Amino acid sequence: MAKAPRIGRVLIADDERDIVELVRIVLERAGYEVVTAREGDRALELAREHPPAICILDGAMPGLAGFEVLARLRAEGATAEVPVLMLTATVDEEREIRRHGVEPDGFMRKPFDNASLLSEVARLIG
Amino acid sequence: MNGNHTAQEPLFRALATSAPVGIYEIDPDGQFVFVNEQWCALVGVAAEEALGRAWDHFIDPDDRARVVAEWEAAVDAGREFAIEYRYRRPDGREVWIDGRAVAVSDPDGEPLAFLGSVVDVTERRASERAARALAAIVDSSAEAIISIDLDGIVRTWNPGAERVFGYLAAEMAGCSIEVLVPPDRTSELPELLDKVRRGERVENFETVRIDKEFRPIDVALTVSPIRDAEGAVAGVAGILRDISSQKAAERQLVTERRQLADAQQIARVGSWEIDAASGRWTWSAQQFRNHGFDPDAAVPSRERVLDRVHPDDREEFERRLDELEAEPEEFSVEYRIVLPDSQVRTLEVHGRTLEGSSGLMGTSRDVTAERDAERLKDEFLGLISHELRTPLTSIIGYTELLAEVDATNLSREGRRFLEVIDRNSRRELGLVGDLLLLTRITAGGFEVEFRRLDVSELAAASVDGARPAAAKAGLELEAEIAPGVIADGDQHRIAQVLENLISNAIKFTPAGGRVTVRLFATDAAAVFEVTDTGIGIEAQDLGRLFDRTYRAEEAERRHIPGTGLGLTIVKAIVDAHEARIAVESQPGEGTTVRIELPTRARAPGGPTVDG
Repeated sequence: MAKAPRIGRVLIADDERDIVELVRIVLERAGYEVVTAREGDRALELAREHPPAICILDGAMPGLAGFEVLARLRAEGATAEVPVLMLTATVDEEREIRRHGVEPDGFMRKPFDNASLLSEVARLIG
Repeated sequence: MNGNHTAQEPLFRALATSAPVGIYEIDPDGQFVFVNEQWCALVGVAAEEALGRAWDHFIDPDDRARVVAEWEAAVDAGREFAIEYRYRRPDGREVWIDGRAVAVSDPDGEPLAFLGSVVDVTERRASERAARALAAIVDSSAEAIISIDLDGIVRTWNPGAERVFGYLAAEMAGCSIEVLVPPDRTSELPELLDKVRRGERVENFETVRIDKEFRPIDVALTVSPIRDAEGAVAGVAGILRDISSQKAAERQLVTERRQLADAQQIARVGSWEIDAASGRWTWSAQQFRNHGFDPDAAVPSRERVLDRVHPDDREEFERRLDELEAEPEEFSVEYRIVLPDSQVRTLEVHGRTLEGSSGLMGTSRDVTAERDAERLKDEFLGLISHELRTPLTSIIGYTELLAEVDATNLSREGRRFLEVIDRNSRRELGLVGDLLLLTRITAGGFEVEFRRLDVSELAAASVDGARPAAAKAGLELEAEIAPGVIADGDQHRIAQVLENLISNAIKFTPAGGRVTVRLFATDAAAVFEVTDTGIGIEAQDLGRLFDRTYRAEEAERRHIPGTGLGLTIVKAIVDAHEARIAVESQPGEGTTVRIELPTRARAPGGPTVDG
């Protein structure tokens, strides 16, 4: 199958390798360029080096969790405007938002299907 | 004084002067011709006033006719006149006298004079009357009134004693009172007798006596000395009150109090009361324990109770208390208590106004264990769904990828296997979604997004989505959907409700049956009805239909699959929309579930949302 033209750079960070791979494959097949990280610190580093079109973060990674990465991204001028899609498996997203004082641009509740992921990413990149 | 009357005789004179009785003489005409000083003192008149008066002049008018009749009878019979009657003294006092008189006749039998005597019996008659009144009281008393001598021998025994002990007065006269004393109390009698001998009185001594049938009777005993004319103790008067029913009631009360206290302790339910007038609190022992106070201490002050209330609950607790004291009414409240050892307890309190007063009474229940279990269950549910979700994401995602990326390389059988994986992972997705939603509902994080909805379109889509399942189950699926029904609601949630109800109807209707879906608009609501010709719901199951994980017995018996979560979720969504749900069912004939969704809903805390 021919590669689609690259339409944006996506940063995906999740401690589950299978999820990172799944998101990468689905998005690459749709024509996105994908950068992956398995932990929050690394994701932050990658985002600072080269701000992506969108960050997809696992909300509850060990170490620096998605919400903490989000807070730091928002705090820095270069990354403040990067849209963030949070992958969650929590029961109460609102509580996470209150706890960290930051709200992501979108939520993707696990489990999600590939089509929903694609449409949400497309919506957030605009 | 007349020449030849008897009173002139010196002997008579001497006698009349010294005798301690009133003496008079009446002439044959019936007039006083002599009265002695004693007579004058008795009747309260001077001799001069009496002499020449008719003999019956000083007799009390009420007694006169009776006395005259006796006089005449005595004269006719030639016998002594003897009768008790009253004189009416000029000072108004009446004097009872024992009056006697005899005729003094000449040798021919002609009366020459009548000689009479009067003795004052006023006091004697008064004491006789008092004695009769006393006897009547003793006779009519319900209490046993007994007198014994100092050896314990029964002298008098009233009807009350007959009733209480079963012995007749005739049986007991001359018998020892010992027959009433139970064997384990034989020392009581000598002790009581000793006290009375010393002139002491014993009041309301509670003890036990035995009746004629040897049944024990609880009595309150009062004994006092009977003194003779010289003041020496001669006997014992005893009053025994039968207090067995009172004692039984007391014992019953003690038993019931203990049972109540035990029941409260076992159930961890305390009770309390607030007096309207004084504002005073009364607490049961368990009420103290529930709040971590010593049951033997005084009821703690409002401030001390407030101190125990969890800081986060204090404001609410105080507000409710103020409200209640201002206007008592039925209420329920839940608050946490922090014990001195920092243990936290949750108390569930209910109260209501007291009948016929403005006071309050209520209960407090220690629900710590229940709340802990609920929280644990919710945490568990949350954890389970969380842990299920991540692997499920991979299963669904990679299955999709495989079908998409590698479809051409797969055999027909391989593609069929993939479909099975896909279908089952989506089924599990639905279940995990339900679990998650339920957890959110319980945790209070469940919100609906109100938008203007074309409910007709939504209903039609739900029916279409259910057609394959209906066909597979061998059912007819009919839709009577009015076009253009609009209402405010959360599209996904309303769709979820419709799908759930239709899928339930299909699940519980045997092959050959029919499921009908109706949608119509009323003035204020979109009404959605799902009617089936299924197995129906037993009356006892109807009330619990919306309980979490509740499944009807019939569903279990027929091995109809399900988790029992569906209707709980339906109910939560319906409630969040301020909609109404009603279920009508006839076992063996079918069920209709009706939902009335308000056409214009108010978003919680906000104005009506326009779509």
